[in-house]
Amino acid sequence: MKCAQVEKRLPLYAGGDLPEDEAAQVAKHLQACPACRRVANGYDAAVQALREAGRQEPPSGDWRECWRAIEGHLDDERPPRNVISLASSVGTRRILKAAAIFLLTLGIGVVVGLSLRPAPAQPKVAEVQPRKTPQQDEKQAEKTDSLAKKPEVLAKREGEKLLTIEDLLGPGVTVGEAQPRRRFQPVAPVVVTGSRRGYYMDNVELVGNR
Amino acid sequence: MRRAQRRDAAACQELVRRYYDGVYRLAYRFLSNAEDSRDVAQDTFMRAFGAIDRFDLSLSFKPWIRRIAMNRITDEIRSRYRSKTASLDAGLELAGDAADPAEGPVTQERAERVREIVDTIPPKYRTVLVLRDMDGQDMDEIAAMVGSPRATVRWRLHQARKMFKRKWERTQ
Repeated sequence: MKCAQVEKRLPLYAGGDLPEDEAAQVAKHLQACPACRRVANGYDAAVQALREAGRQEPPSGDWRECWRAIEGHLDDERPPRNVISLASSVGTRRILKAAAIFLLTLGIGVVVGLSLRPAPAQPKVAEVQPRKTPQQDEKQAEKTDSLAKKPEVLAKREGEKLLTIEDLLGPGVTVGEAQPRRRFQPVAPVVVTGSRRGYYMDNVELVGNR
Repeated sequence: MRRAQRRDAAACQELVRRYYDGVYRLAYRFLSNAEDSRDVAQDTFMRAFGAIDRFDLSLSFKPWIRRIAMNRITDEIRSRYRSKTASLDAGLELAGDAADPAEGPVTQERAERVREIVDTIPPKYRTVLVLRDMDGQDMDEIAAMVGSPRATVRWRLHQARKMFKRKWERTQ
């Protein structure tokens, strides 16, 4: 037996609580190992102190006093016992505590989950746009025209590379050819408009906020 | 026992007379306080008579009542353990209640120190340590009293002795 194995057994060895064969092996090791013997002596002293303290006889109790106190309650003992044992049994209390914690956590989780859940998407209702006047159409055309002349306005910086609007939208999309604004008509050429809030293509948001 | 199960007062009285002292002393081992030990012993018998219908007549009454007592004592030492002042109170009362004039002051003082250290050990380890090393119960009796397997009792005793030794050596 090695020192580590012996040390693990010393607490029980000191009180004579090891099986005989193990105790014999420990004893043999202790004869040859002063370091383990020192530790073993510490355990011996500790157990000795406990036993000495245990030899101090507790005083006797008076059973008559106890009997006088409980004699009148003999008949009402049946129901309270269940209540007492349920409340005081350690296992039951642990189970109740665990159940309470679980329910509390579940409740908090549900509340937090509900509060963080995104609002359900509102069904899009096709808006009936008021018919624009020719002047308004002209103004819109001018606006998109100016954007088309300056595609870099819509460009987005990513690292060192400047992305053009074609990079963002993919090939085949013609940018900046001004057409009268026509909502709900996603046919090329696509009208792209920009604002501080993002880029819009036919009123559909393409990218996030800057 | 059959008569006690029918709530026969004389039979119940006889059970109290016969087993009260053992229960009281067991409580005193842990609580070191006469009043608390009386309360625990009384409560133990009240619980026992409340459940006596379910007592298996083929078994012995003594381990049964000791197990009920142990549950009650465990509750008590747990609540004491949570209280910071418990060990100090217990140590002081030991000197007052259990002092045997025949014992030398050195032994008494050592016993007080032991008691103070024991009171700082977590209850589930302390229970096994006191029953084994101070009360002299064997492993099987302890396992029955605390309602745990023998292997668990061995492990707890192992841990409890390690804890006690560490603290005891610090006071030397």
